[in-house]
Amino acid sequence: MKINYKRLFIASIFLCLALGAVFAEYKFPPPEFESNYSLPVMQRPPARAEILAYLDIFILLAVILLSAWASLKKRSRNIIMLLSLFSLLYFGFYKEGCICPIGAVQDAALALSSPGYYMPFTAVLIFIIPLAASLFAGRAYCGGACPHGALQDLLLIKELKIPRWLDRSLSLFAYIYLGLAVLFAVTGSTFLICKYDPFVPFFRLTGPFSMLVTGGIFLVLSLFIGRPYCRFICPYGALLKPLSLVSRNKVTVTPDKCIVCRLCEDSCPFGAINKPEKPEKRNIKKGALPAILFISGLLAGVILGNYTGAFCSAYNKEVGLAVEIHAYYEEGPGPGGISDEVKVYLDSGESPELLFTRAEALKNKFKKGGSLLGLWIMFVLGLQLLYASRKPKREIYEPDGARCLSCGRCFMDCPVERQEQLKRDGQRNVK
Amino acid sequence: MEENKTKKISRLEFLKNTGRGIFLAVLGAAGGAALARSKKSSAVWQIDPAKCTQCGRCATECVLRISAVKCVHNFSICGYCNLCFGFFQAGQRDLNSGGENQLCPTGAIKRKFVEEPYYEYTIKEKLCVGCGKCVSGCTAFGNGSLQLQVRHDRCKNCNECLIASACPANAFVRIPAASPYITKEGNENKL
Repeated sequence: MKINYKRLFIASIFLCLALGAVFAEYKFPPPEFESNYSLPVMQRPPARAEILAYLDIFILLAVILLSAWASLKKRSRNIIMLLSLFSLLYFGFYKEGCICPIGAVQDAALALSSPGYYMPFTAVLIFIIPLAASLFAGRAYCGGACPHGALQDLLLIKELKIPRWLDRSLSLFAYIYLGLAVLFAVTGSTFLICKYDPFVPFFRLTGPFSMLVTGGIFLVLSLFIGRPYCRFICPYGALLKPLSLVSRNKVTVTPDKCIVCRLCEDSCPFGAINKPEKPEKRNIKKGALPAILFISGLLAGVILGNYTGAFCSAYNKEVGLAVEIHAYYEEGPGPGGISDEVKVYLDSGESPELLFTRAEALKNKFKKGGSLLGLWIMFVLGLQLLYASRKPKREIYEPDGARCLSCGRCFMDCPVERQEQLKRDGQRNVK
Repeated sequence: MEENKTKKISRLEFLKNTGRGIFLAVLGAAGGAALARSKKSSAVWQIDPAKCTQCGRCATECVLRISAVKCVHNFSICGYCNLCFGFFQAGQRDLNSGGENQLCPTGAIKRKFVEEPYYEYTIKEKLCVGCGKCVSGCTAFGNGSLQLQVRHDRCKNCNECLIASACPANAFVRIPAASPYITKEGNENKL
């Protein structure tokens, strides 16, 4: 048989090239050991099991339902307290706070605005379930299932009354915070709510210094002020307020008829019980002034928001990088050398024009978002003023639809409730 | 006359019902859209070693005092070099495990003789702080078998990873929790 040497030679060259390609990746080809050394395996500790995420949802749902039952039907502060203790231990100290509905607001905003964002199915449910529940059972989530609320609630020892006007004004901040958080989330800048969360470092017993300091401040505040985070800061609360205002079922102070004894008035540490009011006869001045004020307020909000948006855009990573790159091309490297970001970008070899157009687009997005944010803030402010100035006819003491946190403190102060309880106990004794 | 017999509802009640209906519709639409875009599997943070520049921020930016990021050794692509650039400091005196020769600030790498001329390097994860100095040496001069990875027995899986937002190279990615590591020789489990 005649061997085609030429062909064999060419084939062997190809074979060598192919082998070379396999090992060319590595400067030092992995050795072939002669001793019977066995290659250790790279350790890969697994992530939290997937099924546990679904278990969390199930537990969240169960706690919300129990809390709704305890606040609406059973009317028991003790059960609500036990539930909130459980939530503090489970969602707080065991799950260490993440992911919670408060932070999921940002995930939802980002997922709705940019389709590529990785939002797990379970996170959507965590975001939706408490909101949906509040449409039917008030803020049952806040009362029994929120670890943040539970921590503050259980810490409250000496309560200081906050004047009503201050309480109502401070609670406006939650809407501003919500708007800001959504603006920063949809522009892909940062998750403000998570970054400045005061309680998660305590659940984890470790965290950045700044977070620990804000957390400490809030913990000390909540010794004297009922749930300061929930009332004045919580952006999820800002979503829950309007929803629970139109809730189908509501927490009531008394199980039966209110006898207007005023005993419940002081029981609520959150200033959420409304007094009976008689609508006074008011001289309503006719005129377009309020409407003009409202519209000009909205306009001012849009314009101011535009500037604020442009200002906020500096906190975006991409915009910041564009500024740095621009400075680098204009003035050369600064005295401290170039930053890691600039180095990585220069190594990537992308044309800076592309970066500048991206940053410009982001800045415009910020400006647009800022205008909407301004509009939102002024709209909420106007609505709040309208809501505060209205004097509805009310004959009994009742919890404010939006502000009641379903904690159940007022139940035990109601004499009607006590009487009912005595009756029930009597029946039990007879049996 | 029939209509008068129907249950009367107050104006406030009507407004509330309308409001609830509107909110339900909005919630349903938003929730539905989010659900349609959501991923079935839960996600975890991980470092893409192809993008990582070993800037050292993993060690300092994590919410944990000792970072959840550690150096891991991918033995299958290690050259088992005598002169390991991940182990020895530049300008080392001798090729032995004397402290003055080591690059690792916490002495977290163990060097063990296997056979001429090969040495095995193992990371003592308890000591590792995730600074990436060894990774930098190994990536620049060696095979890159040392790489930084988020360790999921430590990671709290924050909603927004603070290291990710500080990473200059955008090397932090979210990947399915079922295959939570990215190794250099195969990045098949990227999103």
